[in-house]
Amino acid sequence: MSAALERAIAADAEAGRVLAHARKDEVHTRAGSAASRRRRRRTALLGGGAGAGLVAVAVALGAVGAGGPAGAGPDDRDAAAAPSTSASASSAPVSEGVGTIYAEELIASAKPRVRGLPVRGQAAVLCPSGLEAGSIARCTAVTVGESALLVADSSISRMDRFVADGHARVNVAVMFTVTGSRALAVSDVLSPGVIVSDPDAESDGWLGGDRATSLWNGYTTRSVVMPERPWGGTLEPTSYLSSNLSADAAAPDPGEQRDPVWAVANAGANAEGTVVTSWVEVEARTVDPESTLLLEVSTPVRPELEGLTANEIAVGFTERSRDDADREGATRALLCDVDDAWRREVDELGWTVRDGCAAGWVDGTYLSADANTDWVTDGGAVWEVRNASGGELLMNSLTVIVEHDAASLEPSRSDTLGEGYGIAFDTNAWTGATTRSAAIATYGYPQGFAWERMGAWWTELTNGQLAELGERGAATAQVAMPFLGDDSRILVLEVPLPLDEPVDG
Amino acid sequence: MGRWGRALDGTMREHGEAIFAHARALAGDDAAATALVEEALVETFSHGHVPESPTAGMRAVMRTMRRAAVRATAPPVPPAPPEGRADASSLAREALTTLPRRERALTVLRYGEGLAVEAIAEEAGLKERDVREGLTRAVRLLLSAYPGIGLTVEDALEGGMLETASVEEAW
Repeated sequence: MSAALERAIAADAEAGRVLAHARKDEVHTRAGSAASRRRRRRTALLGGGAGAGLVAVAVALGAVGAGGPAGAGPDDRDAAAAPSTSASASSAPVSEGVGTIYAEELIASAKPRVRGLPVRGQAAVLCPSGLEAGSIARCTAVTVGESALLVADSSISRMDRFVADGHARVNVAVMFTVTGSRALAVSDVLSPGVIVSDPDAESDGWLGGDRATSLWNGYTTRSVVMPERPWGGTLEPTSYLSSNLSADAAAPDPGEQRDPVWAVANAGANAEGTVVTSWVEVEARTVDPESTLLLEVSTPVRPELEGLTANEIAVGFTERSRDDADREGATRALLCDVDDAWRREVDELGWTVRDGCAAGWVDGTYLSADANTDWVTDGGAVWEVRNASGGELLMNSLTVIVEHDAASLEPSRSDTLGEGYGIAFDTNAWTGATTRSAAIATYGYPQGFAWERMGAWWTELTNGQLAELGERGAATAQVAMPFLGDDSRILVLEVPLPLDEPVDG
Repeated sequence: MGRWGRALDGTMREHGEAIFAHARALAGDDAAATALVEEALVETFSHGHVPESPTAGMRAVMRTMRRAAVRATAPPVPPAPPEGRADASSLAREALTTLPRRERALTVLRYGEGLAVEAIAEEAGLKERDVREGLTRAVRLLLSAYPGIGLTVEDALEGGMLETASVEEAW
């Protein structure tokens, strides 16, 4: 022991207490905002508010991706390098062991897994070591343990689908939980899923990174999209692992090979039997230079009802001027042109303001906004903005804009609004007689996600922000929606946030 | 904010000082400590599970900080300007500044919290072998910076408590 060292550490801790007085509140506020954004984004990915209270999810958006180019086949880093799957006869049953489960224990229990035969235990693959995440490898199919270690939670998993103008987008979020009584040395992020249309067939050799006919390329070998390396941590029983995938497809030409993504997007008979397959690497106590053990999970796709896209809503877009009165049965909208420079900006900043968007009306009611006094804290106002379209909406973001003088003809300067994704105009958002500005975010997910029917987002203004609005001000929620097959435009729906509702503090 | 927001508020109101104290000891400088706290708060309160009480929130945040600190790859923090004192504590504190972040965090877990190698491995999600190697490096660096610090590799690897239950209360 060293009394001097203990006193030195205590002195540093005391410096931390002093630091707390200076920085605690600001760190608290920033962390609260960041946590709130993550929760909202996660909730949205899982389909709005309904799933929010149910789950302890660990969705890592960094793992979300559209996958590689279609048509690429497995490379030659194949199963020939994979080790024998012979089990160690002396290994104890995994279910009877104690402590964290590492790869060595599971490998000792491995048995060959054969195409077409039932799986007893946990499906897994043994792959060559050292491959990069996202690369495609040929691996040896095995089962490990005596029962499944990961089980799908179908109450949370979902597949949202959108089809318009010959294009389709499928967003998949699947969740698995760790079963049994032992911790597992795996990350909480599965690889982005592969949509597999005929999972028990022998592969026709086609694997497009995020879609395949089958992953079997022999009776005991599988094509695998390598997951991220382990994080060095463990997951306790009942912890969640998640996988997210956003995949696009175009209508196949006559005679063209069936695209599993197009099939599930259209939810026809062709989609029956389709599964989503993902992998997660099990950490080894000692790095094996030869092989890596991945657990493999598959879950049948259960497509939700087809959702609405900007393509369909924008069909009836008609011009709106700043003097227009509200229209019954119509929704305020903006059409914003966007380009690569704008996309780079929004990628970097997370959100941005687009000026000069064409203002208009679209037929139908898609949004509602109501003050919610239950959520008011420390004064201010909170609104619930709901998807009132009757179906799911493919959306990018919900932001709020504040206009201090809604009727002014003076040009406006703007500034960010608090710490959320919002903007305040010192006059208003009109940039011309028929053009306005829009605040658009992507939350790092430009493909968009499903906003479930009647799902609510909340947005709030503080007492100070409300006071600045005065009698001439207005607050508006803006919902940005991507177009399928057209990344040059974004549709923004607008709904006024009622300011005359009595809001008790 | 819902229940998670109230849990965050309660945790920071009741244990904010202790959290910053632990972070400052683990990280060694104000900027790194602030970042450590912020990231741990976001990580702890952005998932579905909400700690049941402010104390549970503090434990979760501290555990997240420890796991992050022992995985840090930053070089040593530049030493603070000399304060004109040469007592043993000042020399030990200066020696601590020579440690890379990971070794520093392991040293704090071993001597600030009094944990044994096995307990550190469990608490920080590391392999025992990695903890032993890190502590050995840390002790050697500390001894080279301040030979009179009173440490031995043997004590670092063999001493300490196996229980982690009441560690957070120490802060």
